[in-house]
Amino acid sequence: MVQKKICLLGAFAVGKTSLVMRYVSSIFGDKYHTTVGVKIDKRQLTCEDQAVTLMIWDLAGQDDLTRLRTSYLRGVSGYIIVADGTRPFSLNTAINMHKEAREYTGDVPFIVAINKADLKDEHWQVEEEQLRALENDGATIILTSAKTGDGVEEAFQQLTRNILKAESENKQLNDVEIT
Amino acid sequence: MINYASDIDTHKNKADDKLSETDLETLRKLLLGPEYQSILKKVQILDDPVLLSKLITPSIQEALRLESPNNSLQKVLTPTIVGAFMDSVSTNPKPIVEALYPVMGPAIRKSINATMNQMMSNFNQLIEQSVSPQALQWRFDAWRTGRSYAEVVLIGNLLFQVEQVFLIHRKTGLLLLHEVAETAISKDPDMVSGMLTAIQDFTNDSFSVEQNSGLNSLKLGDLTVLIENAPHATLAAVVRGTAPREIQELLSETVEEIHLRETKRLINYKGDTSQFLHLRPLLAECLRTQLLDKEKRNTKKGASRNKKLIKYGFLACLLLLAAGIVYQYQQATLKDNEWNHIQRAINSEPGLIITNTSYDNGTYQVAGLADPLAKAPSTLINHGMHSNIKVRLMFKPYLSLDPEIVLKRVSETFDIPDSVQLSLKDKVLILSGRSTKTWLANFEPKVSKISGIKSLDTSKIKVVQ
Repeated sequence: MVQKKICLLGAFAVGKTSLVMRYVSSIFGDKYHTTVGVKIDKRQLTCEDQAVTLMIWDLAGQDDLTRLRTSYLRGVSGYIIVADGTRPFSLNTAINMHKEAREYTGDVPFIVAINKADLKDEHWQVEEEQLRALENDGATIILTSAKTGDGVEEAFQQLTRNILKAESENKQLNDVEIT
Repeated sequence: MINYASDIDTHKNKADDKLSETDLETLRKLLLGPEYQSILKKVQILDDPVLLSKLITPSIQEALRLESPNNSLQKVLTPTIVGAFMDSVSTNPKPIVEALYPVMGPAIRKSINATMNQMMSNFNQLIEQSVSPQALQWRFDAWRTGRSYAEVVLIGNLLFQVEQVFLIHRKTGLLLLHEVAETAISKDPDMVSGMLTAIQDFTNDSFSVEQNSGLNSLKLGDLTVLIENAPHATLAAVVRGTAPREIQELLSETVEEIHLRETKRLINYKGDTSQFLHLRPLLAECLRTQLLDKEKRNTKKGASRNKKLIKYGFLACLLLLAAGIVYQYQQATLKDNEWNHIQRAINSEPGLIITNTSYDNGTYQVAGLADPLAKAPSTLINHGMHSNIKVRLMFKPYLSLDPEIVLKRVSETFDIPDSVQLSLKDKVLILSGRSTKTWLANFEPKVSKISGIKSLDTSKIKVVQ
């Protein structure tokens, strides 16, 4: 069994917490967001025949780019950026947060989750070009809906897969160096 | 013509140069002999730094290895090393702190212990002055078990249990190992460790604290979470009740040991918890300490009955002793009083004189003189009180001139009619009342012969026929 720390980042009220609520076990209430700035949840899954425990640090949403709690990002194996499909500005915030986080975490796997996919037909504000641009940058984009639950499991699985892959690649690199 | 000459000149120079080269070569060979080749090699080495360092290295090693007189090599190197050290610390103290961490802990603890012991002995002196019954009880315990009094006072007041111990990876907040006491309840320890780390980060971020410092304890009611931070691991213990200092020390030592043994694994941790399972006994030790104390208290209760018996017996003896002493004192006082009374009584009795008193083997002795006409001394001894003392009387007869005795003497010697009253004043016998002339004529000459009477006063007496 392997433990991994991952973070959830995103603007205020994009639905981060609702997104994961169904899929995690939780003992801490939401008030931790406003007090400590982070809420810890746990998700256990199997990925590539490996039992993995994800410790999910759900960081309090921030509307602008005021300092991300960088100390919470310490030692993270991967992260999920969440944006609200009905609010285009949230995607910009998410991308900026991602850039900032990157400076701190280095080159770890990440997923971009565009939430509220259930409103795709009505209030969807995301341009396809934006998504393509992101993908070109190397991001994996998953459309999710906290309401229906679509895409959430997939997001976690994909991130875990990427993390494990990156790790085994690193290990191979290290092995090569030694020999 | 000139051209030709210059041509010849240059030609000649060229030839000279050519000649000089080989000539010089030959000259060198001649001068330097067989060493020429090796010298050439050495020169090449001097020019090439890589080759030069290869050559010099063994010499430097040898030089360092040799003991230089007066430690001069040390002195020469010291400023350089100190400078390098200081530079390292000022640019980035982290590696040095991590390297020193296992050493500093014990050193600091030692010094703290020394200070605490000093404080304890002062504290001890202060407590010496308290004399409440509980304090006396503790004093007795301290004497009986051979511990310091202050220690007994503190320990007597403790009651605690270490419920859980967490070993947390400091960087990620991931839980490496967890131990719970049998009777305790623990909520999902993975999340608790994460949150504990988050809170430490939060505190560091929100309040200006030194880098690398961490929370030491969280207190809520009778629950304390003791936290010991090492550079790459954190050990947290949940204690219910008042945790003695030893628990914090135990945590310190445990986390230091873990850190020392597992430094590499901690730094390279990628999430595989099985790597740390073998540390379970170390963590369990932190729980077990508390049980031992609890057991001690339980055996205390069982043995306390015996202790109580001893205590009460002891008290009873003390009381008896005290009672005995009081009784003795009382008796002595009574004896004294009676003895004084006897002496006073004898002294004030006319016709008795005390010449000597002594106390011998439980018997008081009175030596004195007693007129045969006086009251017998023996009658004075048991007069009034129940006797506590033995008195031996040794009285010799004498003739007393006390007025009362003299009057008695007169009455006994002569036949005094009822109508006559006698009184004595200043050795003058005064007669009063009535008497016959014949009696008076008979009486007068004889009475002046009685000792104590100088003269007779008959002015007050009425003579009848």
